[in-house]
Formats: sequence, structure tokens, C-alpha cells
Amino acid sequence: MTDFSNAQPLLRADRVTRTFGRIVGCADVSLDLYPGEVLGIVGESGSGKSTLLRCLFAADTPDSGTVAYTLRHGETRNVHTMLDAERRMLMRTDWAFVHQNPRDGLRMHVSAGGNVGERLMATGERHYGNIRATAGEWLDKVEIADERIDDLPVTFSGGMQQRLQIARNLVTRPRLAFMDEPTGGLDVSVQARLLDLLRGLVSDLGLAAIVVTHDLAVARHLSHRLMVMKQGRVVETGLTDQVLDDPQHPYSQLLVSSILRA
Amino acid sequence: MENDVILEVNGVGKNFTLHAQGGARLDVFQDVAFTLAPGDCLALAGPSGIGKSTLMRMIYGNFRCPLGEINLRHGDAVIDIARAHPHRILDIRRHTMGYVSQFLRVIPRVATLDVVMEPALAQGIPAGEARARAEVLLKQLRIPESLWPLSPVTFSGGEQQRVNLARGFAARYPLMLLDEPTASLDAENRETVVDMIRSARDQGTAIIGIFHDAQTRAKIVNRALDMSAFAVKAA
Repeated sequence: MTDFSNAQPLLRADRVTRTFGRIVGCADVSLDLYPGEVLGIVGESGSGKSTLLRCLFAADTPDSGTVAYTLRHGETRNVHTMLDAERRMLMRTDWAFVHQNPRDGLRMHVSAGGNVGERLMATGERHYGNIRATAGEWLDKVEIADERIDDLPVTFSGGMQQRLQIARNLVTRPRLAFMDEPTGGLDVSVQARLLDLLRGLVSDLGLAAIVVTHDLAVARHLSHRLMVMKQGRVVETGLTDQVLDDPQHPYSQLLVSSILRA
Repeated sequence: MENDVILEVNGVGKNFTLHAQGGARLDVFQDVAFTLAPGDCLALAGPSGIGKSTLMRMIYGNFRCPLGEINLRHGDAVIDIARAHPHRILDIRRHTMGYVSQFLRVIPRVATLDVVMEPALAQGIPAGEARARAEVLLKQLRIPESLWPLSPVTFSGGEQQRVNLARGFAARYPLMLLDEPTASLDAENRETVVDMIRSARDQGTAIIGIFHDAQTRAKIVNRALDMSAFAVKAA
């Protein structure tokens, strides 16, 4: 596991605010994320989690505030003012995305191997044999059987599609993953498998991640630190188990006490 | 902090504000103070509800510490857990302070052997050695080998507790926190756990424990802290 104490933040958001007319998406959100660290963002629907996430990877532009990312060679850049070409390069190499709906992250009419290989090609890999071999390794890492490499994702179950999306995104050894409800919409048994897989990959690759979820169990098992959002604002932040076991803010307390135990 | 001290708890108090219940405030304890040296085994004593587990969780950084300081020797530094950054607390948990809680909390798919190895791996112990340690502990604690590849979530309470203990002892920490480590064990396993704790203590591990069983307590601890002394009197 990574030691965070001496590193420079990988991503730093400073008072990020995004409004839609009179509606507040997110307001005044600041955060630091360190290499290898997983930050969970929890809150109910409409709390601004996804808006914030979109501002962080520059799919949306905040009204005010900045988001800075530290490149591999150490230079820190504002993600909203960098050139489009630079940002596209980051999205293909340094950044990974795990969408709740795998259809948003996969090309459904390209084979499983092709989905993984495509991202490799975008980073300059041209040798067909290497691409296929690496794609095969990654399918194996996410527990998709070898013989499915030429099948289309439409023939896969939801859990398999989600694992394929993860392979496609992690094959380029990114440094930062943005995950939006990564286990949402999956059966509970499939969720545990995916959670275990994600945890292993994050720790093996030293990957930093921001995980937006309304599932507190996902947050507990995946994230080191937790941020609780309500109506666009951060109401509490801290060590994950501390926020979940000894929540201070009335809204965090409500969130934790509302979990139904089976 | 004195050189031979690993933990110094000073003026520590805890209260909970329950916002969903009209902001009711529970004052649990105040002015808790003690120090701990390597090889010490301190029992937190007192009736149920007095705040023994709460204090233990505060020392681990799991519960917030609103009053006082909890100074812990971590490598060459002394860190106040009450004010430490989450990154620092995670590092302390990895290398300096272990905690065996009453309940095992794991992802339902991970094999028992992996659950037990995990903290040792996180300390940087090579996989082969971590596995060897885990196997020795699981054997000592009488978890049948046929169960090692399975997730412990379906195990009995006593088996889960033993897996939790194996996990706690597979890594080595200067300070161990044990919350009723023998609560659901039979006599034979209780003996084994007592031996494990004693041997860790004799090798210099500082231990804080909650032991309801008086016999177990008598065999392990050299000091007790009666938590009743710190109860907050109703105004």
C-alpha cells in the first residue's frame, strides 16, 4: 500500500462551484487526492456528487474554482485551461473512467479484445500480436474467460460488461480513475466480486481513484477517505471508517443510520 | 513524552450528539489519563456501557476524540491521534497499531487465508513469509485447512473471531488493541489465544484489552484501568 505522507497531490480542487441557473450543482468544494489514494464521495441523489466528478475530469466547466492535475513529469496543470488535445491525451492514458452503465464506457459492437486493444492503440502500440496478448492478460485479470476475447460485449452479462470496462480503462496503466457508482445496477453477489477485484487492482497498480457512490458498503471497502455531500456542499470529510462509525454532521448521521441491515 | 512510553492518553473525553434524536447529548467519559510502555498489558475495566470500547476506538482513530490528546510513538515521531491527518492514521494502523475488534468486516468473496495475510502484506512482508505466518496462526487457532480458501463471512461466530485474531497477529505491531478477544471461544481456543497474547506481550508488544472473563484477564494483564472513575456525573 502507498504511503501518502510525502507526496505531492495528484489532483487538487480549489473551491469548485457549478450552478445551473438557480440550481446549485456543487458549491465551494475543495479536495486533495494523493497518488495511490482512494477518495469516496457519498450523498443521496442530487447531492452534487456527479456534477463535481464531471468538473474534476473537465467534462463540465465550473463557474468558479480550479482543478489542478500533476502530470507524470511533475508539472501541475489546470485541467480546464489546458489544450483540448492535451486533455484528450490524459483521458486516453493517465485517466480511467468506470461509468455506472458499462454501455457508456464500452464500444458495444467491437469485440471484448478490441475494446481493450483500442485503448492500447491510442497510446501508440501498433503490434497486433502484442495488443492481443496484453488484451488477453487483462481479460484474465478481470476474470473474463479466454474464449470470450472475440465476442461482442452485447453477449456479456452486466457484471462481465462492467469488468470489461475496467480492463479497457486500466490496460494503459492510468494514474487516476474516476468511478461513478461502479457497482450500481449489479446483483449483490456480482457486486462483491467487482469490489474485491477493484480493490486488488487499485492496490496492485498504485492507482488513485475518486469513487462516487451512494452505497456506503462500497465506500467502506474501497476508499481511504470519505467526503459526504449534501445539496452541493461538503458537510463532512475524514477517514472512511471514522465518518461511517462516528459521523458528526446531522446529515452524515442520517445517512449512516438509514442503512437497512439484512 | 518519556522515552520508554509508547502511548500517553491525556485528559481524554468523549461525547456523542445524536442529531436525529433532538440533538440529545451523551457524555461518556472525561479526563481519562494513563501511559503505556512496551510489554505493558492494560485491561480496560468497568461495567458495560461505561465506554471501554469507545475509548479503544478513539485510540485507534475510529472514533473522533473531541477532548484531550492521544500521543502515540510512531517510528521516530510522536503523533497525536486526536489531531492526526487521515493519511497519518492509516500509516500508523499499517505499522504501529493493530486492532482486533469483536466483528470481522470483509468483502464476502475474499478467502480466509488472504484475509489473514493482508495486514502482513501491507507491512511489506514478502508474500511467502506472510502466507507462512498466516498458515501457522490458522493452524494454532484450529481453523481447518479446508476452510482456508473460503470466505469467512459464513463461518460461525467463534471461527470468525479466530480468523480476526489470526489477522491481527499475522502482522507485528508495537501496540495491539484487543476488544474481547476471547468472548466467543471455547476453553481450548481461549487457552491458545491467552498464550498468543502473553507471548506478544513478553516480546515487548504493548497491549490494551477488554476482557470480560476474569480468568483470562488474570493470566494476561499487569494493570487495569477502571473506567468508572471517569464517568461524567449528570449535572
